[in-house]
Amino acid sequence: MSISRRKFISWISAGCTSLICTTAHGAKKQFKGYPDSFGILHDTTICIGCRRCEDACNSVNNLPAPEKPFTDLSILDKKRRTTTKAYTVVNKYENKDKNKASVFRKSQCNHCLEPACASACFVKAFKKTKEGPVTYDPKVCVGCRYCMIACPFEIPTYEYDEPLTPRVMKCTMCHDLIKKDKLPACVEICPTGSLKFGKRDALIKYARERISKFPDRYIDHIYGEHEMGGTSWLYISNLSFNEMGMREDLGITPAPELTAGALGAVPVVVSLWPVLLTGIYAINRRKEKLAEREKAEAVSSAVEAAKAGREKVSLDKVRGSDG
Amino acid sequence: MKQRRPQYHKSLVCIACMAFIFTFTIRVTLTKGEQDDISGNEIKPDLFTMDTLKSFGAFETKKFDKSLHDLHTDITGKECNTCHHVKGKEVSCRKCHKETDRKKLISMKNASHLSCIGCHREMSGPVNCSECHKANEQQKIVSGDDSSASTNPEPDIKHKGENRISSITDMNPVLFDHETHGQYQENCNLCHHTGESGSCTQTCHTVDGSKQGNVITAEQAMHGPDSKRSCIGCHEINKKNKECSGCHGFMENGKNFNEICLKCHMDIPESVDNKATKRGADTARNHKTQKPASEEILDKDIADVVIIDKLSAQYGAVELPHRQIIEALISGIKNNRLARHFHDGKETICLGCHHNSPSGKILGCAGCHSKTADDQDLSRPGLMVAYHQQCMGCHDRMGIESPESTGCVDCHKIKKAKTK
Repeated sequence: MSISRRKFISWISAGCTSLICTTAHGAKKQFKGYPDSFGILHDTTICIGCRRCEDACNSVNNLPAPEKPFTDLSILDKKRRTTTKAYTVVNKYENKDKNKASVFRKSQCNHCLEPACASACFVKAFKKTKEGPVTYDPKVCVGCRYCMIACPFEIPTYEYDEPLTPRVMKCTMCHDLIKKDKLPACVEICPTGSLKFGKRDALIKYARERISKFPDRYIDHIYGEHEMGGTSWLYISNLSFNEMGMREDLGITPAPELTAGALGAVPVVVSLWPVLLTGIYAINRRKEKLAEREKAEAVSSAVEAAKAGREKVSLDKVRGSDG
Repeated sequence: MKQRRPQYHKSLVCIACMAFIFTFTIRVTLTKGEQDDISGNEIKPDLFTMDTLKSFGAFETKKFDKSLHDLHTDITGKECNTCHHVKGKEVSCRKCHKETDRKKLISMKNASHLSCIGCHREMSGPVNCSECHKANEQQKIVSGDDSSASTNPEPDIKHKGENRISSITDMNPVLFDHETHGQYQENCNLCHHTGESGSCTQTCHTVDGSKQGNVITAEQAMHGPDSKRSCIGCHEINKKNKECSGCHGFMENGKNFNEICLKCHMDIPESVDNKATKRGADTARNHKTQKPASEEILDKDIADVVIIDKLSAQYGAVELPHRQIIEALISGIKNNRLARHFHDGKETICLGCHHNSPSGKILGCAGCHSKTADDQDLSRPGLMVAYHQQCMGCHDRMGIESPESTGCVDCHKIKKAKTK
């Protein structure tokens, strides 16, 4: 039984595909965060919406002063999002139950255990540090803003009004302060202890303890424990997270895992594709060569045959004239 | 295609006709059913149960509460058997009559319609549906009869003035003042939830639990913090009052100090018999009156004003009206017998704020809370957070609107102008 070329090529391509698939599976290992990394627990039931965290964040990051002072609480009536000038904002959410007070939630980068921004960034401007914060390096950033598209919490913002050195702006979780054994500025200033800093594991344990001690005060869920594979910021609340503008449809799969398969296949494709293409090219060339050679042979034999025929005819003619 | 159309029209007509017939039947059955019940001539299994009617929002069943019960006992001249027709078994109607008709027992709905309306027709009382089933009409009935609740709290004469002493464990038995507890409940069924009027611990919730009581032991039945029927569960609900929640909202649900056990499992003088006696009841009552909520603490070592200046960076010191706070807390529970029973010592009021002070010594906040939060024990916040949580949390739970939580300068003196 002979193998046709077509069959051979299809076998090779099948082999490549299976190889790619196995590499993709290899990438599906769940990362549960660095051991002993830090986190912050936001207990929205204690938050009074004083905006002191915004104030502290503003001064520790040397951000420009806002139009209205931080003491102006009328600003809470409008829903706000993070901007290049405010890494964190506090929003007010009305309780459906009119007798209960409205709830305040601070929003900022959640510092995912497996950040979507970092996985989308092809120059590695974002990095999940072992302390917990996801840091950004403006020196290597090329300004593609893939991170902004990738972030499920819609946090990173871009300095569109900066003509020469635009940066992506987001909460740093005060990485510098954490490394110096200090508290992040917002936690340090929070007057009611609505923000609690500590080891992420300990915070989860503490949050569970709070929920079980005061079951009628909390929803039995720690937001950020599993969302998008887990985040360094955690939330407990008495109002459903959906009502506080937090997405509950995100699932528990970390963002990088969704793209790891395709991205993991890239090196394989890059290394195998040239080999495969060269092989196909070589086979084609050989085929052409062979065909040419066969053609040449056929032509030469035909020519020879014709020659021989012509000679024979002329010989016969000679013989005929002789006879 | 053209041929199909008329057929389609036909089926439409068919559906419309059926729908009309159906709605008509419903209306007839609905009105007919009511008439039947009122006249009491005929009892049919209902097409529409009470729940179906409830879903229309029109019917809200009248609660036959204690004041209504008293009204009826007065009218019938305390002849229980007028309604409780099984002699010697004066239990709640629902004990026998369930939601739906059964072989020999008609449903609760039919039973109440037959008995109530039948009797009302002969004597007096509401006969129309709305008089019992509409909330605003119901209020008319009950108003004016409430006074009887305080004078005649006991629907069942058998129980009146009787106190039960249970002595089933090593713990001192509880002197339960049935009469007093009866005064605070509208409905006996809250505790006697099966409709039986007997003792909880003798038939159902025995020490080891019995099948009859769903194997819920006496200890569980009396102490379950989440049950409305248990002693502690019901007391927990009372702690949610504004006057109580300032301190108690800060404490874990159902968690009590060890000393508190003895407030119910109190020492009983030898003269008191272990059986239910009148003397037992008197002792229980005397025990309570001996130690009132301690107003005398106000005259002792209580600081009038406490100046909190341990931390002051941006904002200045706070003058805490210490005595005023204590006075407010005490006056809030002055007329609350339950609170007075449990708050009979000086510490019980002080420990609301000075919550983890060792016995015999009252510590200030800085006694336990350092300037920076404890990174080993997350439940112990730093001093600033401790101050704010204690003040704001209490104000919030007690509904004290001024000073506002975000009104920094309402409590603090401004030390320096804000930077931003």
